[in-house]
Amino acid sequence: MSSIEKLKRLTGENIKTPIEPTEKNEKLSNLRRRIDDIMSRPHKYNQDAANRRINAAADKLKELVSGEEIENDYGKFFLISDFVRGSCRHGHRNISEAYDFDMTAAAMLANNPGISGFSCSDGLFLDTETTGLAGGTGTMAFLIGLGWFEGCHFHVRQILARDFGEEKAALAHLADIAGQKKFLVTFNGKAFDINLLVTRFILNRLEGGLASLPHLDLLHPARRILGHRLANSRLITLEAEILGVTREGDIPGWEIPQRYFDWLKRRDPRLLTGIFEHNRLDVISMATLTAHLTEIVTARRLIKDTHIDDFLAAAHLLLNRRDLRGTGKILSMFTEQSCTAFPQLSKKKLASLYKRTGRLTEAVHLWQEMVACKPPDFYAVSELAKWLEHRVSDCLQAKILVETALQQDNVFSAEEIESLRHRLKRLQGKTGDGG
Amino acid sequence: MAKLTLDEWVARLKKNKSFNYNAAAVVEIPAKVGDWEEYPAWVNPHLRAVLEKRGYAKLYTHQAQAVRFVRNGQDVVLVTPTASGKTLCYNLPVLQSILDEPETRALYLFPTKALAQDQMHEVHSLIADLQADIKTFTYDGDTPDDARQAIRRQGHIVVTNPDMLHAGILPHHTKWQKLFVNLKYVVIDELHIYRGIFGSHFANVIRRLVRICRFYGANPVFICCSATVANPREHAEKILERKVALLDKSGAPTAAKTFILYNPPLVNRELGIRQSAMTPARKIASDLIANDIQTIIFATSRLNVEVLTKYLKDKFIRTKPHDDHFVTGYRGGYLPNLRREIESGLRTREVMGVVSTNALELGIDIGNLEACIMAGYPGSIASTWQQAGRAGRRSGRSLAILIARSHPLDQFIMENPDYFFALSPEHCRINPDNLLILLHHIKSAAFELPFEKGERFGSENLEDFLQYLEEKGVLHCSNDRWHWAAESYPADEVSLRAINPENVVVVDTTDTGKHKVIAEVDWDSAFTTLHDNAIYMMESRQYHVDKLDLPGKKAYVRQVDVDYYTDAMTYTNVRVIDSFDTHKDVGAIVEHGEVQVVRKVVGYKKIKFYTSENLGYGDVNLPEKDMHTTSYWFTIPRHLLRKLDFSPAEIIDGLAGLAYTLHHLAAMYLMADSHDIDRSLGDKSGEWFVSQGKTGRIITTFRDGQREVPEEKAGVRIDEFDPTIFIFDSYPGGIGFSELLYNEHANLLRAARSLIEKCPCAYGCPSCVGPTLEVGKSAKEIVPQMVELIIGK
Repeated sequence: MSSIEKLKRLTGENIKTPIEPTEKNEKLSNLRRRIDDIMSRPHKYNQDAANRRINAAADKLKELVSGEEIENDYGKFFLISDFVRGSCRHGHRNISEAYDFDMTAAAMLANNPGISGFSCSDGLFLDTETTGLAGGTGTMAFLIGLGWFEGCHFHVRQILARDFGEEKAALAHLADIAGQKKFLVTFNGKAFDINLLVTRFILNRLEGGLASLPHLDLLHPARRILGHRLANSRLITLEAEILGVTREGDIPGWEIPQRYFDWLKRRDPRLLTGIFEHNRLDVISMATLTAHLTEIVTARRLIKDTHIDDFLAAAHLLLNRRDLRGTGKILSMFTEQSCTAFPQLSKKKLASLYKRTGRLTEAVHLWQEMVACKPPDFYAVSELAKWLEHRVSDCLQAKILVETALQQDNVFSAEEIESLRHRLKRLQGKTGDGG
Repeated sequence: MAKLTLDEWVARLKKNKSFNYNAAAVVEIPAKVGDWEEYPAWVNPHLRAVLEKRGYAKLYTHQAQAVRFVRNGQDVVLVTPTASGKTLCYNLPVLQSILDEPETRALYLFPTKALAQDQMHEVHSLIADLQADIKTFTYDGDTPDDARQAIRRQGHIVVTNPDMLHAGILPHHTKWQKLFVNLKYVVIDELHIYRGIFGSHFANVIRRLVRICRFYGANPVFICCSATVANPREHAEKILERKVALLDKSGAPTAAKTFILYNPPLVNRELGIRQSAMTPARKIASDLIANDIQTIIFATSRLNVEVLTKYLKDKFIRTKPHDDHFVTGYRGGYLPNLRREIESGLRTREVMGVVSTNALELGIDIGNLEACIMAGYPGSIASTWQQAGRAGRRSGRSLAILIARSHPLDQFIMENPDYFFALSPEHCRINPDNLLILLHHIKSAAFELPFEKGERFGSENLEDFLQYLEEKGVLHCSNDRWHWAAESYPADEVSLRAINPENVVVVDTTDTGKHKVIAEVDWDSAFTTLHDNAIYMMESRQYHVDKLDLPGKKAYVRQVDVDYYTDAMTYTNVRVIDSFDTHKDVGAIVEHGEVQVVRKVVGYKKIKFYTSENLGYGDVNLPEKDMHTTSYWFTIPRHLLRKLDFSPAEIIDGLAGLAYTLHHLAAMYLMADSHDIDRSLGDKSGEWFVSQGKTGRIITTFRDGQREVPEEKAGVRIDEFDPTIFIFDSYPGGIGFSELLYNEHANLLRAARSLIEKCPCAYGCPSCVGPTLEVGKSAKEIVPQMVELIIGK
């Protein structure tokens, strides 16, 4: 008995139970024997058939998708090229509007000052489609989507390894293109795509400088600036909610690996077309997302799909990166009148930013507004009291403020009440009001 | 009363009459003088100075030889006793290489995280003294994420365990490029641990490691350390698949040791029941500890550890009421912090007595214990010496006492002390080509690097496997290379130690507001220790299992204080699927092949503390465990059995008794863990089988796969079946034992007959055919006649 047959028994397949020989069973065992005969035909036969299928498929692919087979020193692969004119619309923007985003802002988002010295067209947008999400050496990036600006237009290149054997050639082509660019833009590339590609380069024994390119991973800044109002930080969510892009009949990401495996067996190009489109949209969305984020950070007033809190989050980020000028620029967007309409929470964030950047007048104004609302806001009361006490030395006003707040109907928590009482006691002491 | 030193205590013991009566052997192992050599000239003077400061003015001969071999690129396996300075044999050449070439890398493999941590501290302190820029790290499940990248890039010595290597490092080897490209040494400690199922997996992990090293152009030297076993070189060569040099003559001096083999007296000669090994263990241990002699007691099961710990704590609670840790238990299931605390307590002598499972057998430094008591034979001679080695590690006299249980192996040792003391102990057996194990690792290897035509992996035809996996859809062949073509991650699908990789977590719900996890138990043990209504013991505290949630892998327990503990009852049913080979013996048909084994926990006994009374039974409703494995079996035609002058019930008893004896003898022959094989008595079709019920033997019948209500004992249907005794491998796919047993069939039966005839008991006992309460009074009489029936005169 061959080891495979033993194995099948161990795993529970092929368990033969003793059967009484009947005519039906004889026919069955004949059939089984014939199948076994076919199955055991030399491997080469299958390989030839497979090769014929592969060649036929290659032609079909070219028919369905506008692409071409490319050959380099390492073999062949399939390349789809697309040219997206500046006048094309992607969501709320034209491509030309996405072009020429602010490089200093991009450098800040990437937390890599070196990027500020480059121009937008030096950037390589990159997104991969892979055979699995687990990572590790057994995962391949079968499709590498690339994009870059040239003038106000956008080029898209999609490098497809039609089989494992084409991977080396595909990676070499990627290395060629990357060699002409100066920085990368990805979405979650730091944790996933670039790690994976570096692994694939090593496995294919290719030199690849990918890891050393400066890298703007949009996931992190997107989450920090826009995450506050989104259900999750997936690119597809950002696309729909922020960039205004709607996809029709898009393939869900989790289906992609299996489609590729099915393609390997059946070579039906229709399995892949959806993946190309999905990947193409991903790449272009990254470009417009970059524009969107840099616009918020540079306080460029946008009409659609911006939210006060986006700017506040951006200001917060800039402040953490110690970019006071940038923070100030955003804060200057808000005038006294416009602030009045803000929700309480946004006022709070804005007031806090004002305070941290030394704009006390604006901060005080906001606190006063917030204190005037019913029920009073704990944060505003405390901050205003602190300001009155320490900056203006008006302890009396401070005391009245805190007293009033405690006496009114309020929704303070136990700790907040405790804190206000403590403050009141101290203020009473200072104003000589023992009561 | 004045406290005795160990010398005085031993002297007093030797004068004790009843002790002498029961001592099967008292051996004084003399101190051994050391044998030294000068350091080789190439050793870096700073390194040498550091070692000299630690007391190594010269090297032991075995160390000098080892470092010479390793430096010349020769793979070695070192077999020298504990405390013979084995670690220097690998630390010296590794550190020397790193000093010579700072890019050098080394990988240290230890079987457990705990051991890895311990050894890392040792290397660390050497390096600190050296004041060299050499970085060592442990890389295991506990390593925080942000540290991992630094370790991959900068770690000169990476210390890890096989599980991490298997699931964490090899499948991500590109991240470890720096390590692999410069890998010069791989150290494998406690090599003898890698036997049976674990060893078979481990050998495959090494195959994958070597494959990946080759990819990066590395060819490291392997340095293995093993405890004393019969076939260290063969074992190492089977794991590494290359020639290995054996170094087994230790140049280290050893202190004098008194080694006693003690057989508790028969308390009931008729029934063949001996005093429980726990009784002398408890008495001797408390006497030693009361004399401030630091003692370790090894028990053979977690249950026994808990019971013994409770006895000892109870005893000392009167004298040391506030010190909960004066005597403590220890086992693998305790959470890491607690274990570290206990180990440290041992080193500082705050803990004077520790009761442990074999978890403390391995090299974790616990300082200078003086006495070691083994309550029950640990199952292998190698383990016995390891455990005994825990006493007197550094210097001075030490004491080791092995107390036998009523168990065939234990009694065999007591009857044959020469077998024990002669240096011819067990073999380490592995089967790296077990089909299921091999398949898992081929999948993992394909994930790591595509397979090319003409490659070899294991001794089976690799291409068959690759095509099989292609048919299954996990591999894709392109240009004569097989690539991983699935989304899953193969390393996650297999655990190196168990069939089922999941653990069951024990949740203490006593405090209704705050549930907390108090332990983790492996899947298989959970069935017998965490069933509903079991009493789970930990640190001598009792917990009642309220609910075992198998799908959720949680057991909910509540602390209780009761006067009993529980012991699970299981039944086993075996059905033949395929016979690989068969031959006819005088009175039986002997075969080996593949079987389906169904095991089920059906109930439990409640046993009272101190008196061991049986307080009652409970039912358990747990799913069956079903597996395919290999087995050896023989069938006795019923018409032959009818010729014996016994009733059908007695015949069943005799068969059960024979199965019992064979099981234990087989384990000894194979020198395997007795858990690695199991037995069953039934019928080849699996339609009826015999198991131990509450009040005696029951026959259970299956008809069309449905279990029938068990019959009354009378009218046992011996006339309808040809009884078969199975001895099968406990693991799916088999470990390769059954073919060996098949070949040794005649020897096994002859040994069984001899053991039974020589046994001094009246009607049978746990040492030969099994306890008479289980096998009945006539078993001892019947079995030799059955054997004669089977093999002739």
